[in-house]
Amino acid sequence: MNSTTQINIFAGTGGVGKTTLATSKAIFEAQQNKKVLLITIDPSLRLKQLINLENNEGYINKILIKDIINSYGGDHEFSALCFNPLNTFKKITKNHDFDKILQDNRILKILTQPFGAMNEIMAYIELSYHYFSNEYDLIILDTPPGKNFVDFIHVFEKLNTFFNFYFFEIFKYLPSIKKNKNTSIFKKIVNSGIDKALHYLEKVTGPVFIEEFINTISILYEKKDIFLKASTLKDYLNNEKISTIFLTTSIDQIKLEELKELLKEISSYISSKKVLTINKSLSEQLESWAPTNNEEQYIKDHFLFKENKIKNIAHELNLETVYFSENLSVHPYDHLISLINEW
Amino acid sequence: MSRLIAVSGKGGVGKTLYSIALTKSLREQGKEAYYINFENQNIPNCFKNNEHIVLSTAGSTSEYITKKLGSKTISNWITDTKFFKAVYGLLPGLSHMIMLGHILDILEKSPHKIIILDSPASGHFISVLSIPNQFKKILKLGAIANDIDRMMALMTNPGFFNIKLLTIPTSLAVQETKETVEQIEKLQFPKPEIILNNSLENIFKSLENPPPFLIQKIENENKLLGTHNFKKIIPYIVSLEPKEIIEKISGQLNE
Repeated sequence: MNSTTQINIFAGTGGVGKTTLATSKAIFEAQQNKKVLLITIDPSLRLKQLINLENNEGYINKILIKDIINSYGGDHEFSALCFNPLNTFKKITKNHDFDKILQDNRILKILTQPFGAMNEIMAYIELSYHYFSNEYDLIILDTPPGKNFVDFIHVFEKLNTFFNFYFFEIFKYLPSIKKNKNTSIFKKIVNSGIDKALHYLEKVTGPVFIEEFINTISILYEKKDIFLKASTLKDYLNNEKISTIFLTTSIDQIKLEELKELLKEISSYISSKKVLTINKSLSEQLESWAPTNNEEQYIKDHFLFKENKIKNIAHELNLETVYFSENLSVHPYDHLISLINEW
Repeated sequence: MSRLIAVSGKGGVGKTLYSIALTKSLREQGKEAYYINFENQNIPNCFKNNEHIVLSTAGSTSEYITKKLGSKTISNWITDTKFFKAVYGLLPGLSHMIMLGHILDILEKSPHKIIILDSPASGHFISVLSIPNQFKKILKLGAIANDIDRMMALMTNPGFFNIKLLTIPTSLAVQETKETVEQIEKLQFPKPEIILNNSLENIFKSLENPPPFLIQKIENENKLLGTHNFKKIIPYIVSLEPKEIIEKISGQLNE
């Protein structure tokens, strides 16, 4: 109740183990009696498969650890959420006018589809909603691969531009539109060069689009307090004592340039604590392998070289670094168990 | 032979290296093939400025709008207005659609070109594929609406559009591939081909005394393989150099 909610974000290029690591951290912390919420904002929703979630996107599920991993975890549990932008929007509009709004406005309906244009903004709103609820000790975020996570980070700026720039431009014209709903909006906008631009744009988009678009903006503008409150989450994300980004990579990936760029992008936007997380290390297995001929030595050298390449990057980046070994089972829940033991 | 080949799959399975290798392989077979990275992501330095392989799509928005409006002046003017920038910024799907429209334009103008589209990972790939239909619902009339119809006619034609889903022998990747195939079929696009990347079979066979971890990995691979029909299996390439990996993969594709 008194201590502040912590945030852990697992980010990195594709296929490095973000979802599995994020889940293992959730379980680990839940076993320490913390109230944990695990959210995935990756549209591929691998979390569903990993923890056997029913088709329940957008709603919080209470997960008993022993339901994921047989006879493990006692009575400990954590909460999990597969983010769905439509449900986030429902939360914002507080349900009562929700269905009518979507019926009347196709643009909004489409914007709030999973994978829709407002995906990252809604993900941000969802995160802030749970953070400010003060219900959890720790919120863990599993993110989409690489560049798409950067879109999420850019939401800070987007929210700002959204309300200070875009809306301002568009709302200059709104009073005149609202007065005479039946007359074409283009006839009303005469004092600016925008009427000519809109006229041409209309050729490309069709007339209905512009009206619906402006309608969409006014609906979103009515909820601006929620967006503005969400933007205050930035201060918590920038606080090293509250937020940690686990920048994840794995030995089998050779996307080291992307990793460095991702780190650069993240660092220019967020000043949270950053931990380089190196997954799928095979160093123990490699060490105990004694090759019996040249071919085997060649292969061993190749794998060793991979391990060392990443370790060198770790030095270069000068970040706190943690290593996790690769679990060789075909079953993801065995991966979970071995990762939990390594935290 | 398909004119547009999109390559997608779970994050980290090797889409970019495979796409470049495929482009090279097609060129070696005498086809006028080009590689485009849909999201302008990083490609290996050795190929970045290679005009024979990489097609640049810089400036596609203004080109597209110019074409639709018939005037470069008006196009520049529109793309410069704050209102338009607002629309563009709030609808990131719009830029994807314009990119797709531009690519299809290129293919229509040059009947011999083949484009290999290095696409986003599964989740976002489905989002891109869903965009034309979504925009069609909003923009029922106008130049873009007509374009969308043309776009969809091309992209639902298996003779024109081919989708390759790359996967690797892990449980999460295989499951994601299965889900992506279902989602693509629901959207009525051509049925994707599934390609297994990083198969350890060859390495395993070449070693007299493979270590326990490799034995375990090949067992896992065989368990997962049993359940699927792969159009092609690409072996794990023992190299850390992108250029070398691409050469070897394109060699495999030429066989």
